[in-house]
Amino acid sequence: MFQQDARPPRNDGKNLRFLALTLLAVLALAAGPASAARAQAGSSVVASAVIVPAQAADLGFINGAIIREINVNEGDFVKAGDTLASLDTPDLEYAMTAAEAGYRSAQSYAQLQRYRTVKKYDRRGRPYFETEPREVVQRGDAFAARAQASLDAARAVLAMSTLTAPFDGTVAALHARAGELAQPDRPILVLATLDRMQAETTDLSERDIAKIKIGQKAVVFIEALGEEFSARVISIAPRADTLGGDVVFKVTLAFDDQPDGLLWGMTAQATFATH
Amino acid sequence: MKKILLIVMTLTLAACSGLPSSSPTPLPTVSLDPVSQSESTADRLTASGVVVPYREARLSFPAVGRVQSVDVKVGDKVTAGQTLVTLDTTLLEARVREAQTNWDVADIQLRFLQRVGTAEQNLESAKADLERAQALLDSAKAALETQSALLAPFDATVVAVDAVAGETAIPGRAVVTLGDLSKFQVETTDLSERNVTRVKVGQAVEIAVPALGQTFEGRVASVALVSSALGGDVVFAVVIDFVKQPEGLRWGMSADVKIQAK
Repeated sequence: MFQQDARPPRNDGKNLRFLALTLLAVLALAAGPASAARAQAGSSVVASAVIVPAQAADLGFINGAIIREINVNEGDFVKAGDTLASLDTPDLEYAMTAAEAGYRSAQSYAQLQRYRTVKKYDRRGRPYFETEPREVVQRGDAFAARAQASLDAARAVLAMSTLTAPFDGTVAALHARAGELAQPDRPILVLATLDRMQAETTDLSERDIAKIKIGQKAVVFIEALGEEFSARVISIAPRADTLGGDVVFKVTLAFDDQPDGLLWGMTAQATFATH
Repeated sequence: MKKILLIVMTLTLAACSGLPSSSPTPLPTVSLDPVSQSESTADRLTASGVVVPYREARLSFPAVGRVQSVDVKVGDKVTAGQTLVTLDTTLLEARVREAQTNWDVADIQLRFLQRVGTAEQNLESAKADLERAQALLDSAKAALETQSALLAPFDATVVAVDAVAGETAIPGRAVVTLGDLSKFQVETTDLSERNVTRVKVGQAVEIAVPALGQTFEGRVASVALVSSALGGDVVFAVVIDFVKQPEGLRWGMSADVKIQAK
């Protein structure tokens, strides 16, 4: 901001102003972090920011197995529910087949109990048929219900071998390939809403945070695009981070109109209008 | 001309170095240098501190699972018992139903034997089977309960959320951080072992919060029993309560404290 004043002096008055301002700038810079020097510009607060997607998820499998197939490439747009990748888990598939067979068997068994009778003989030696006690039918039904539950469990376990998209988004990064081992603590891809970007401040000092309010208007200058966009504050971190030795708060800004050409990680400068 | 310049420069320097000026005063940074302690006098100890909430909790799941929904966002106020994050519980629910049907079978068997009458040993055996089924059912239900959702342990504000639907919850990795932001305290970061013996609970403290440009009254609430290391220094955390909760405080703001030690 001092560059505007740093033009070659034309007269004594300008010369003096220039010198005084330079001195002030040098002192302020020496005294505090860069943001502090920028923040003194009248009634506005200025902070560096970075462009991030509104939502980003590190997706991975929750069981460890070899990856059979990855169905997407970096940059692909996927819809919620789309299959992203699958694991090679024949044991779980066989278990599923076994559970299905077990369920069918238990169902027929339960049906059979309804018609089962016991052949008995009366005193004269004549045969008659007596139905089984009612508990036999109840037990058959309970077995069928248990087989159903086991089938649901087997299906749930097998479902863990398939990774589906939890929301509409773009595959921003792919960390694994088919044939590699998937592990619960190692996400295999990053799914992000690259069509909905936000700006997050990185160096907004604790000194200025009291001047920032939710809903406040701001101007975000994107260096890569050389353009300014209007935005507003949607979130203020309730807890500070430290940047070097400085205490800073993360403030998140949503654009009024989503600019084209934004990429994740671009640097920006946010100027908050304060009154 | 040169004279004027000189005067302007001197004035500018004077304005910047001493009295309040248009340029912001730099925040005092945490100094590891024991020289900073030299400000401490016989009856006054100075230290740097940080504003912390009265209570905080870093919540995580006890086992691996797939996040089903994240019901809160940063800044939300939650009440004790409120659901914060849920996991996919399809498998655990099926396991509960399996255990329930096993219990049903054991129950039917016992009631049948009781109805038709049988030897005491057979009845005892059936009763034992039912008790075992009950224990397994309780266990499956408990697994479902602890693994299905993350609940707020106390009234608080959501400070950090590190989970998105579809992500994997890893045991021990904090998913939600809560802080009771209705009441703040100050915790010292650089009070040396040399001075800690002079700090007593209840001593009056002057708390300066540069971010607010204000000074508040406080009281020593507790002194750490175990030291921590700051750089090469041995320091003890002293927790200071505000006599009256100030407005506008935020977790992590820096503070300078002057403890009236005797």
